Amino acid sequence: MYSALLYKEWLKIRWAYFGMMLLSLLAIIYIALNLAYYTEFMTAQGFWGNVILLGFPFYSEIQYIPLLTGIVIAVVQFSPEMNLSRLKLTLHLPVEENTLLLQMISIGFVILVLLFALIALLLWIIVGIYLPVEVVITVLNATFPWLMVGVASYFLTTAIIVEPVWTRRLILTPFALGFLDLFFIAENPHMQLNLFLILFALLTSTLILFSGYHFKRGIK
Amino acid sequence: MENVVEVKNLTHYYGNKLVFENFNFEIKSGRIFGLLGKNGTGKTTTINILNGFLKPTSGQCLMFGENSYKLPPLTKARVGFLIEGHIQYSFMSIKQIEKFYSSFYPKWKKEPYYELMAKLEVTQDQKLSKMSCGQRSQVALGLILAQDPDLLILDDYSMGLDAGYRRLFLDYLIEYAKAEAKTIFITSHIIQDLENFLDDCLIIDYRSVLVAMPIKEFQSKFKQYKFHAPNPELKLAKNAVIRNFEILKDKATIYTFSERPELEAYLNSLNINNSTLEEVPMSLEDAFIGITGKY
Repeated sequence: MYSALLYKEWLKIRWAYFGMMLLSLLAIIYIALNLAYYTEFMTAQGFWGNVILLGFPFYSEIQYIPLLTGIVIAVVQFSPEMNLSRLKLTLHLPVEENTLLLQMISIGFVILVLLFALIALLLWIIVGIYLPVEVVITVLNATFPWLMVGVASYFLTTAIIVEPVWTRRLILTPFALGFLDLFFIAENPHMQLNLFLILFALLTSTLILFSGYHFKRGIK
Repeated sequence: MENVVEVKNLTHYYGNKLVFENFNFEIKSGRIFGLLGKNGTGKTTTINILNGFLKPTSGQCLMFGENSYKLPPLTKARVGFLIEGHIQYSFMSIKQIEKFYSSFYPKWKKEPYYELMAKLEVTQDQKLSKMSCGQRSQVALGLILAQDPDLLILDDYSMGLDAGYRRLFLDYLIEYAKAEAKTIFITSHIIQDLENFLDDCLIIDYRSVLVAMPIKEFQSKFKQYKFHAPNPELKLAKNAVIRNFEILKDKATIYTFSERPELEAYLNSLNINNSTLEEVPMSLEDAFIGITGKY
């Protein structure tokens, strides 16, 4: 049954997913070209000095792409369900309702994690070509919150879309914006902070159960 | 005969607006049950409660003896549900949607689905979003037949369908229901189509039940009488004898469950001249309008 659900969700998500993957790859290619250009003209040490001393964020092109990806995937996955209340069809399937909703978001979560892992891997490889491993780890630590915000934005957007009560949507939206902003606050993200961000992002996954409960109760 | 659906003292409000109060009915196994009512009388609300998509203010709905608000998966598998407007996953093709649903239902039979699809002039890769309303209705019906449920709940199957597709839908449904002894719960706003289809009917009005009986009993007992009324201002209140009364210029119409002698006696007691009283045969649609009124 899970594979059938995966099939349905993939049919909805695939083109947007490939689109966001292409956008991510373009951003990484741009970062790679920049890196090649600056290390050629400034040497690797000089370039990294500029990054440290002047705060030159050579990888910032990737900053908002995971956030946007999370929102886009949530919209293409759940808008067709809410349009004409198609979610009733899904909830009528012979599976427990909360299990169905959690399975649906687990599919979105897994494909986002795969994309974000690809982004991290490519950054690792590209930065590793020009700069030492300590710098690579610093870059990955710094970009980690940007990847996790993609997960949180996905969970929060699904909860907002599935929520049938407009007033609750209006309350959830500023809460979601404030929550997502937390992921951009830290100037020097480190391992401990990133572990907290993982926990924060995963906690938002439960919100869809409340929205689903309101939908199921027929609250409008 | 086993009760497939039992509705007990159901009351529902939308905010402060009462939809219905102390609503009771039951559907026996193997029967075709029609819930009929004008727009806004609570047909879809009842179906939403039955399918667990709405929690009633009070009362209880049981399907196969289980509380409809918390149906276990095995019971849900026994219920085929057609959403008003033949809503389905429009981003899927004919083939994809069959493949998707087949994994969920152990009794899945794809033959009736593809048999129905063969009647449509579409390829198996055709997306539902590119199909006409009539074609989508056949997809939705085909999926329910393939599911092979014990109870079919069909919310306004006729919505958006032309006469040909309505007939095709019902012809298939009748053949299937009779052959497999299925229970059907159906609503429709096109009453005449259901004339030779229903076994039992429940006719509801705003907040009340008007009729709950086998359809043949309703059609034989509910009568329409017309008579010449010189006074166009004549008014008759609804009561046990007069279920509805209409007057247009000098032509008066009475709808009643009473026999002619009882009606004549009642009109005589009011000194209303009924010498021209004559019974006029009715179709199911006439009877429906007669009992619910035109407004």
